[in-house]
Amino acid sequence: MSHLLILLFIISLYALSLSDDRKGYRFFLIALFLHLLYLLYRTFHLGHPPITDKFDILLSAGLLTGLYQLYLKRRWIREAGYLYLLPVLFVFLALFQERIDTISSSMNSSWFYLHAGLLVIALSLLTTGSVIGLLYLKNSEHTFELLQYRITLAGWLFFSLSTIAGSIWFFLAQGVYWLWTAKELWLTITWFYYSLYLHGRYVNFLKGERAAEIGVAGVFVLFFSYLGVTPVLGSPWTQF
Amino acid sequence: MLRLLKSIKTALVILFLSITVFVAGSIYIPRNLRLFSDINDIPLFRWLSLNYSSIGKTFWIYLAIFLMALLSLNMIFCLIDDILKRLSPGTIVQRLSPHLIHLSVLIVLFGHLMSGLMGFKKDIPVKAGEEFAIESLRIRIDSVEFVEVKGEDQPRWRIGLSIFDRDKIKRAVAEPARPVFNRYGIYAKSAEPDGRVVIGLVDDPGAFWEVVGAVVFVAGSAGLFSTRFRKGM
Repeated sequence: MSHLLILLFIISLYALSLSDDRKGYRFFLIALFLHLLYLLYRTFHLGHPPITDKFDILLSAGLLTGLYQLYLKRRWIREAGYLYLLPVLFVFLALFQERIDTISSSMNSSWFYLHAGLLVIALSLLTTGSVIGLLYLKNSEHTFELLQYRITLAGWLFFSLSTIAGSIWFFLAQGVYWLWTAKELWLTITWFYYSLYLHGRYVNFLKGERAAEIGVAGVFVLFFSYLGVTPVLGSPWTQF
Repeated sequence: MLRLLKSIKTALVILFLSITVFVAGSIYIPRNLRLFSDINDIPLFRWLSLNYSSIGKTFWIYLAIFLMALLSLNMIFCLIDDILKRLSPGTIVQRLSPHLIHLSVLIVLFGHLMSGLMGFKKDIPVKAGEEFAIESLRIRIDSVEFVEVKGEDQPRWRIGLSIFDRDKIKRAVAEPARPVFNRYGIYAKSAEPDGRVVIGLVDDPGAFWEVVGAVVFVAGSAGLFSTRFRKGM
């Protein structure tokens, strides 16, 4: 119950960020600081980085999206707008996930931590890229579209690296590096989708609003792949 | 034909078709769990030949293999074409990084092909003190112990092994996610307090290529980061 209240409080502070630009930014900083404190508490409580279940992974990715904004706001995007909502989205989604404080023996491996850590970075970058795409669709400022492309490219690289680390971990844990399950197939679909966007954008097959829209839509593929496949398609449950 | 093969637009079409085929697969697998129950236990091509009669439910795997073969061809042609075009002075890292990434995908797909064609995987139930043999390899279970590790949801098992490989003896401990490699991957799959254990034996020739692909991808990514992102946006 106390966890729920803390997270709702953090969500409220993030939501207040939208009220007014200067005042809102202060609320945003306070929310980000509390978010960081909460994850530090989780780290000490768990005894390892908070990236071993969906609850903690979403919260960690949310914190990273908040941290990126500090940089983006300073250098690229004066009025963050939708970007403030990103950490809210992650914290909100975390509320619906089971909080699991233990791990199995096979998860207690450096390769697993690397896989999950890179996944957190990938999730945060790919969603940030999508929201910047939304800003482009709203303002038609070319820089935003370029920024969306670059951030998505970085996110895709981290997503690929996470998949590689995950394959190595799973080979060490189970003797296979790939499984024919709906979950793995959707992981590949996500990778194909972003590859399609990046290559399409690179050769100018996709450009301007069309490219931005396809980049933005990637977030739905990403979240369906991460959270939707098990309940919707009935793939085996995974803790992380 | 050559023009079509070396076009990135062809890659876009293949990627789009692959997404469609994989979506179909993600629907077929959960709906036919009995059929797909052992697909991960034997090499893919053997599994496909054993289940040829169910082609109505497995057709999408054939399509996926076909599309991956096309994608590989497309990547090879794009790679050669682009390298020939860009044989001009410039930052080597900048020019090579995207190619390394594409090459790594080719190596990974080759690894999948190897895994699909060859390999061996078997779980062997055995008791502490007993041994079993595979080819000229004998493996004896010396000990089974359990240790409590903070944060883990159940006691971790450690299986002491003696591996007799022709005239050599190797002693090792296998734990969850920490297999022992001696010609085969020797996995501590499960253990019971009464000394019963399940040892997994794995020989996957594709795994080596996956690691090679991973290393090449990491090199390509590092190059891409250092050239594309260093200068800012």
